Amino acid sequence: MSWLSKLFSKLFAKWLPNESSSWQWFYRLGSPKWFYRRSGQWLPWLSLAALLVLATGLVWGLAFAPEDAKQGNSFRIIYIHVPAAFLAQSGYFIMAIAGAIGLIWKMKISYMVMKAAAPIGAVLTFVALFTGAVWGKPTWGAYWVWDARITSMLILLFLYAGVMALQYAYHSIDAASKASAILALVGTVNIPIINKSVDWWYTLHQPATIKLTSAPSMHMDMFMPLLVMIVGFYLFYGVALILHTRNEILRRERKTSWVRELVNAKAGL
Amino acid sequence: MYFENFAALINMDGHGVYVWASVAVTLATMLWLVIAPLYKQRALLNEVSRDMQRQQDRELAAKTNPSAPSSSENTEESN
Amino acid sequence: MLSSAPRKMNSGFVAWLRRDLLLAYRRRGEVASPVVFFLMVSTLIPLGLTPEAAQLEKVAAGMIWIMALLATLLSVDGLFASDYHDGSLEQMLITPQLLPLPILGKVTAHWLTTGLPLTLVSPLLGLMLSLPIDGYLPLLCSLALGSACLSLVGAVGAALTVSLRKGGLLLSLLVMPLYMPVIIFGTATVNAAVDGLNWLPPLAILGALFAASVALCPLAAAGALRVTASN
Repeated sequence: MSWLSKLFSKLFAKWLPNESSSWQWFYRLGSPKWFYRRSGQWLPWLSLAALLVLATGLVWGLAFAPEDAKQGNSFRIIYIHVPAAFLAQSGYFIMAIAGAIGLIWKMKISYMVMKAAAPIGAVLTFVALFTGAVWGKPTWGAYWVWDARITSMLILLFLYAGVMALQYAYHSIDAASKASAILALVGTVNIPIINKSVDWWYTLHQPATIKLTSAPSMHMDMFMPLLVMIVGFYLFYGVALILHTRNEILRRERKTSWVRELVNAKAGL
Repeated sequence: MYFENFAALINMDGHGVYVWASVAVTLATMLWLVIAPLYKQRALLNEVSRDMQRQQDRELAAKTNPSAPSSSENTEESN
Repeated sequence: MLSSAPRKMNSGFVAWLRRDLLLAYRRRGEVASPVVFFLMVSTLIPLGLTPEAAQLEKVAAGMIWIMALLATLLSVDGLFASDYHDGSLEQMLITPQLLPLPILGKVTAHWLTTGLPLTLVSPLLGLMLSLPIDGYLPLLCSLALGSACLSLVGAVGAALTVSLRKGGLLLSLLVMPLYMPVIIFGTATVNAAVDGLNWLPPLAILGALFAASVALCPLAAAGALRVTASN
């Protein structure tokens, strides 16, 4: 693993302190103060990149991509539905991984990332459900159909709701973080099982209607904007996650001297 | 552009309502995900600065009026 | 020391199993309530849906499974609660035994006092909801396996919410999504048999879910208890 850490420290040498020979950068990342400072520097660039990529993908997908032979123009909802669903799923894994890092290395910042990731993921899941329902109307003639993918998304929303509810149920930050990290890990083990069983259940009950998304058979002109949108959503997710994490840092570290210095510096300007 | 004119892009052969409604809701929620934490951050920073102000006031009051019972320094001294 | 270790580990499981069964025997009324709930809700179904046998038999399997799930949820809330309040949970946490074993003992006792009775009365419900005759054996098998899964997964939720005052509602929120695969394969087992298909494959998957839960849930519950019980 040391070659990996060396690679990382070479790649990010610019942002890392000089003495970071091995995994020190990893621990440095765990310092809320360090993270707050650095993320403030990353944010403008990341936001700009997210904005540009999203704008490009949206205009490309909505105005320039050809329409689908079967579904007509309503298929263009794919350019927001699929990236949102994609991020909703990866968001849960990101949350669980952050929780696991917190449990294993007892890193404060990763619990904060985990807490920040939950509402963002839930909102993206809602977006995926909403766009899926709106897409369903012209395609199936109904806003809600118990389609496998939509059902899985709904269950994912419940899983997010559980993690958030547990997070708010405890007064002690430590208990809230650890308990919801464990729940997120249990959920991660379950998500593939849930998705597979819902898929199986769907094939049992419903003959295959029009599948909303069939990415591999998509034409390149349709697929490229989708890819751009997915990248854009990832960048956007990064921006949102950093913003929410920074707030969590401020909330938990408001008594520390570095936050006070920060406020003083702001007031001095 | 795939469509012949701007009106066709809005209409999308009758599917425009669905597509644009989804886009509008998605963009609005995404915007909210970014703007809400920015507001929250300002509120948090204000809260910290208010806290500091209050502490400063207390310390100042303790200096000008050493017999004031509310100061923590005083209680330490009396102990 | 080493030679006595396996016996000790085993005794953690057996001791807690025996203790919880004894406690359950002393509070027979409490133990009966999930079963009574199970029976009562089944009278609501003909009242709420339809008394027609032809329609009831279509929904019978699913309804029995959903009621079994709700009955388990109602009872799993108390799995660690009384131990937490009287301090014996603290004792369990500081024993030198592997924590998952006492937990597995408690869950086994829970299944013996809720899952198993529910399974045993389910043919009666099947009769009341005019379940076709082919469905009874699969119903018994799937409920026996599935309710064990429900108890095991419920234990994780109970461990996560043990120190919260309004833990019961939160517990159902946390655990319900995790129950979905069990419901899907449980009803599929019965429905496959009713439709004259091979009902062993869904039952086998239910068995796989059970095996996975036996291995993982006590571990997760142990981790959760260490976090929550001290707060």
